Amino acid sequence: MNKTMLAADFFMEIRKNLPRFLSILLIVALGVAFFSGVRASKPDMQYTAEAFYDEAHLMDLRIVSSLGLTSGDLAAVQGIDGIEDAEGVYTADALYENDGSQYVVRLRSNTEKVNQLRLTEGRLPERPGECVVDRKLADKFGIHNGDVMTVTSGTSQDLSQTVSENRFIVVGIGVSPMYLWRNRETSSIGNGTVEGFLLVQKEIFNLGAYTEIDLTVAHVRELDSFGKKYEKKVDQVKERIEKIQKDHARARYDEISKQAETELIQAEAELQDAQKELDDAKQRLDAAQAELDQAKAQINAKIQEILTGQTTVEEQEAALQESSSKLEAAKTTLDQNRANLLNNQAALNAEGQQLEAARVQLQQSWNDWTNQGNGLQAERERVSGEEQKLDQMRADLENKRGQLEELQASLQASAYERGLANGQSLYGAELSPIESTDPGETEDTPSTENPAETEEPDPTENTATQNPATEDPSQVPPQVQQLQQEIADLESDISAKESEIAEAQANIEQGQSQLDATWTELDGIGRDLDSRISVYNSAVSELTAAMSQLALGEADYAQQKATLDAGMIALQTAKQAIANGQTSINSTQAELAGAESQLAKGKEEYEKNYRESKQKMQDATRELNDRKRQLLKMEVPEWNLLDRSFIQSCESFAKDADRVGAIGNVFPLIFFLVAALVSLTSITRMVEEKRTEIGTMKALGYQRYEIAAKYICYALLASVLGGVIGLILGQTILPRVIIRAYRILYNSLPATKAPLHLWYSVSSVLVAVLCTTLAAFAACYRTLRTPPAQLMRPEAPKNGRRVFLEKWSPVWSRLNFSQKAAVRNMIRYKKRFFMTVFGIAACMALLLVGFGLKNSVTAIGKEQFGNLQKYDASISLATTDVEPVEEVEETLRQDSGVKNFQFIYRTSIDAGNKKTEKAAYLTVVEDTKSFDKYMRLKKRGSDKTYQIREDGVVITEKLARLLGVKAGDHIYLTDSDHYRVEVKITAVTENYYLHYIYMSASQYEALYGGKPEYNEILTVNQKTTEKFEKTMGEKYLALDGVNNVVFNSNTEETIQKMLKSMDLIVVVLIVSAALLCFVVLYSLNNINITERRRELASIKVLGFYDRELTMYVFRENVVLTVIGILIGMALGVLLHRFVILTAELDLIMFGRSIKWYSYLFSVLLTLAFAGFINFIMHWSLKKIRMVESLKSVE
Amino acid sequence: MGAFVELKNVTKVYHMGEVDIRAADGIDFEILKGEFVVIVGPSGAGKTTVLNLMGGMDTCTEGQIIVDGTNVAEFDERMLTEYRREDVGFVFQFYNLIGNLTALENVELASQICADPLDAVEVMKEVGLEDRMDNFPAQLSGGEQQRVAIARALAKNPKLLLCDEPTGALDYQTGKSILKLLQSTCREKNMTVIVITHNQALTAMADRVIRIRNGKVSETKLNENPVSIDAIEW
Ligand SMILES: Nc1ncnc2c1ncn2[C@@H]1O[C@H](COP(=O)(O)OP(=O)(O)OP(=O)(O)O)[C@@H](O)[C@H]1O
Ligand SMILES: [Mg+2]
Repeated sequence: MNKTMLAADFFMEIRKNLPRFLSILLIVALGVAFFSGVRASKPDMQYTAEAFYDEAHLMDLRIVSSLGLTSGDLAAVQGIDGIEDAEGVYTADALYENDGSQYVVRLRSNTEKVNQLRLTEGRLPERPGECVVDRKLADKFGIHNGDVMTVTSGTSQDLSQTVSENRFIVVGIGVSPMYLWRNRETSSIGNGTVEGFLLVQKEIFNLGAYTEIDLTVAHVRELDSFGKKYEKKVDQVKERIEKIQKDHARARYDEISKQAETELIQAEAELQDAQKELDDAKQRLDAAQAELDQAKAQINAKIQEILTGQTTVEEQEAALQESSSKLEAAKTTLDQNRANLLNNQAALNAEGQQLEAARVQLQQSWNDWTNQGNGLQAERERVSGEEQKLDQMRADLENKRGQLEELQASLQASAYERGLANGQSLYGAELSPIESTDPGETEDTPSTENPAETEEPDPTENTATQNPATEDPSQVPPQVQQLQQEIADLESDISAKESEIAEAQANIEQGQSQLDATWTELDGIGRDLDSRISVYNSAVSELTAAMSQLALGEADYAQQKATLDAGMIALQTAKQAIANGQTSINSTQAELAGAESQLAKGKEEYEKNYRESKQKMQDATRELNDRKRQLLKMEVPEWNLLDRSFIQSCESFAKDADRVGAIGNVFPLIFFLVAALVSLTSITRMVEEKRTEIGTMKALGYQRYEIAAKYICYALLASVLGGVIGLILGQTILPRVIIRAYRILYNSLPATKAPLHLWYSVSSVLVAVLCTTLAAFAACYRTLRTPPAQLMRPEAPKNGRRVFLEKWSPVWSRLNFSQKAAVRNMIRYKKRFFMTVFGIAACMALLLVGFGLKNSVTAIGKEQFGNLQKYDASISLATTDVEPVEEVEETLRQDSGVKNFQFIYRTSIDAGNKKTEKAAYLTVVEDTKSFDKYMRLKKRGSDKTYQIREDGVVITEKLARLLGVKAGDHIYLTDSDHYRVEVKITAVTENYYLHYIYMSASQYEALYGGKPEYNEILTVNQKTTEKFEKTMGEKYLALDGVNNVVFNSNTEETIQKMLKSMDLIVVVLIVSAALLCFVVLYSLNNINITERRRELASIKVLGFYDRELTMYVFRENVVLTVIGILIGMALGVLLHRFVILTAELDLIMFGRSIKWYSYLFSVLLTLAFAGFINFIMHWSLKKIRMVESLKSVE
Repeated sequence: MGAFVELKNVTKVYHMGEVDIRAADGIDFEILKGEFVVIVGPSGAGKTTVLNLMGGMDTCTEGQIIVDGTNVAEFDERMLTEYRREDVGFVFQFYNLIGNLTALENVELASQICADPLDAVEVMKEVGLEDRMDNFPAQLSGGEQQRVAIARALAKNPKLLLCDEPTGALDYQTGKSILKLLQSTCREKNMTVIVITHNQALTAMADRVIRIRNGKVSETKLNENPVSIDAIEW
């Protein structure tokens, strides 16, 4: 064969057995990828950070001094050789409120060169009221460019004492390498944790001295800041600063101590002032008391006075009341009288009217009577006329009868007429005087008078009146006959006339008597009427009299009434006066009471003040003494020179990188080892398979190297190709995956830098190549050493050997041949045995680590919030003032949703010992007995619980581990005021998240000389539903006393989210385990099958079914798998332990135990992978061709 | 009495890229039950091919292989396995014993899987290895190994014993004793034994000699009086 033929043969070899080539290539690739990838993660993390540091000119050193740093100090530092830039920085912590909760933000003054910000948005502050906000804050609170942030002071001091602005317009958002980390530093205000920074202009700070000087060292930026060279260079500069620090610190010391002395003197004076003030207060209080007593006496006298006045008034009032009632009675009588009188008057009026009617009627009657009288008169006149006629006739007769008698007859008639006329004129004169006396009576009077007048006319007069008519007749005798005749006629006429007159006279007589009767009657009536009138008149006069008397009485009454009213008014006035007096007394009394209570309050306050002041004064005195002593003791301060390792985030990032590095050193090594072994085995096997060919070629006279070259090249090609693929994939993917996981914590980290690392690349590929190539070389070497003749003959079958198990016949005899063969096979093919076991063990271990990590991570949430942190919510108080806190307490007490609650004091603190120092939360508990309702303090992995004792503290496990301490040891605690106390650890409690130090209130008092100011309330709630917690949160946030309400469910969720990145690692582990398992098992099975091809073909020829044939091989694999799983389990537990110890973050303790189901899953998955490989094996067994396999010996 | 084994126009073609290799090219022959058959022919003639086809280790491209009345050529993989398991015993030139089973276990390995096996120890006695039963193959000489292989084939009590150059790797004496074992087995158990050999001398001991050349049967000769192996020298 010539060279080209050799080459052709080489490629033929690859092509003919591509799976073998690929499996070698793949396993090398995997091994290299893992080895170089995981190992590159550490430097990649460092590069990524380093790039950021360099870009930002992150300070190399920071100078802080307990007394601050002056511009003189700065100038001096700037003058030191080897310093690139140095800048003074002011910082101040303030509170920022968002959504009802307060957060601490750190205001940092802008720097020009050192510690530049990487702006993700906007620009740097150019005016006092502008700021650049921490990306983390911006993300957390949804702050955007242009928003306004208002900050308040977190102490009793006004913020303006520190910075001149408290409202900042956000002009930019940025990240700083000083704050790579999600967690920020501690603070002495608020909840003690700095949430983020605000970069503001230097000019707004009113501080006398710089808080820190940040500086960069010249010519170190190009160095690896995680490396030794860098450290050395920085240390040189450090030393130089150390040299000048003494003088500067001294100067500062002098300045400060002078100031302190004056302050001390002032404080002393203040103390005295305070004492004096206290005394003054006492005096003032006493004076006030005396004044009050006096005022009381006065008021009492006044009250007495008023009381007397009141009695008088009451008496007067009674009298008045009496007279008033009397008057009232009189008034009633008067009114009654009046009513009576009025009644009478009415009756009288009626009577009067009646009388008038009667009088009118009488008048009428009189008129009628007069008319009748007149009628009678007329009759009488007529009769008298008749009688005159008669008389005439008689006269005639007389005349006639005697002419002598004539004269007599005529004389009689004229006398009568005169008498009638006289009577009538007398009556009219008598009536008029009555009418003028009284109108009412006037009408009556005529009727009364008339009858009296009508009495006058006489019937005789009537007769007389008629006489004149009959006076004339005188008769001559010649005519005597005639006269006689005439006398005779006349005589008859006269007689007729006489009878007629007599009749008329009788009528008149009758009429007259009737008239007379009427008159009598009327006269009676008239008299009656008159008497009634007189009665009436007398009654009227009586009434009038009574009336006038009534009027008199009434007038009298009115007068009395007026008097009474006047009395009443007087009384009213008097009463008013008394009432006024009363009110004024009342008000005075109230005033007095007020004054008294005020006084009492004043007293109480005074006493409280007194106590407090006393306490304060004592404290102050003690402090004063302390300070005096301190001042005496005060040594010249040292500048603290902090390098980057003191920046928490840099330090923890560096540590995390180291951790990744540590994992990278062990974890991929296993992988790599397996890979190397597998490729080694494959190559060896290949060479062994080719022994005949080698022998032939050797026999044909080829040089050793020519023969070996093929196999070495084969190995070289497979491993170099695999290695290159592996290093490219590994170093680009794995660091990114890992850094991505860490980015969750270091969220300010800029884009990952994952370059290919020459060393890791070369070293891992070299190792892989060497492994495989050397294996090939060794195999060839061994083969080539044997003489060709021997090589051409089939290799002597490997010796069957009895195994130890055969001596144990009860078991052995029970096995069938394939089982026996399996046992012997396993022992015979030791290489394969170990390889398979190792491969499966590695797979199992990786899976177990994967699932175990997941368990460990989940444990943080599950154990911490399920089993340890029993409280459901913590309410942080905004204040220590009594009232709002009491309100919160009362609300809690009445809240049916809250089962239990307890006050605690929680603050950030640094815990440490000589070796190291860690930030932790100090939790001071009032009621240590019931504290286990809120927080279970227990030993991990046992039921043993701990109590917080009086003589020491309970610290959490991770903290104990980080500090390297155990129960019984001592640690110191330094609070934010740099006050340091030493405590004993009484117990170390299981805890997974954050570091806590639990202390009893009494011990706190003993250590800090004062009661803890409880700032947090832990509650155990009825429910933990989202809805419940939302309402509860809103309810309590609305209270003045509440700063924030944090629910454990939320925290748990946050942590779970944060640790979600671990899932990624778990997936990586599972996938790599699967890959490893496949590649290893596949290769080994392949080797197994090819190696035993002949044997398997023979068995096939014997008539074994495919299944039986598979079982023949499978049995071995099952046993190997089981052994592998068992070993893998042990390996996995160890590896898991190692990984969590190296990978866990400082603030977190991963769960230490792997759950049973993780074992189960790992076993099942390993079995599944192995099963799958065996399934593939089944097919390749089926494909074995008996004829070809048995034809010859290769 | 009809043929126990009958091959009719058995053809086996190997396709090697462009060329077709007709390893068996229309083989026809008959074998009666209990016959001791020797197949001879030059190298590459197709003897092994034919034997493999008869033993159910391979399938022919064309033709019929009737063994005890059934056409093996039509068998599928599983039936072929069953056929090998129950009806055929194989002896190879290179023994092909399972290295990590003892001699007895190798025999038992075969006997345990078939329905009507012979007692393994008995068979071992028959092949004269009762003292070496617990030895591993590597501890046995080639002849002893070949005896184990024969014992393994016999233990299955097969209808057909197929031997491909069983003495090829053995010296004269050992070869002879192996052949003797085969012949006596044939005679005593009335087992049909087919032996491939390059040794023309052995044709004398066969009941039937089949000569194969270029994948074809060139001659089938019935030996009226087969001689005992002891009588044959070469
Ligand atoms: N698997 C195979 N692929 C291709 N050709 C084959 C195969 N097996 C055998 N042959 C060819 O078939 C022919 C017959 O081979 P076979 O093994 O039957 O010969 P043989 O008569 O047994 O020879 P020998 O006496 O040398 O063993 C040979 O030419 C051989 O090259
Ligand atoms: Mg052959």
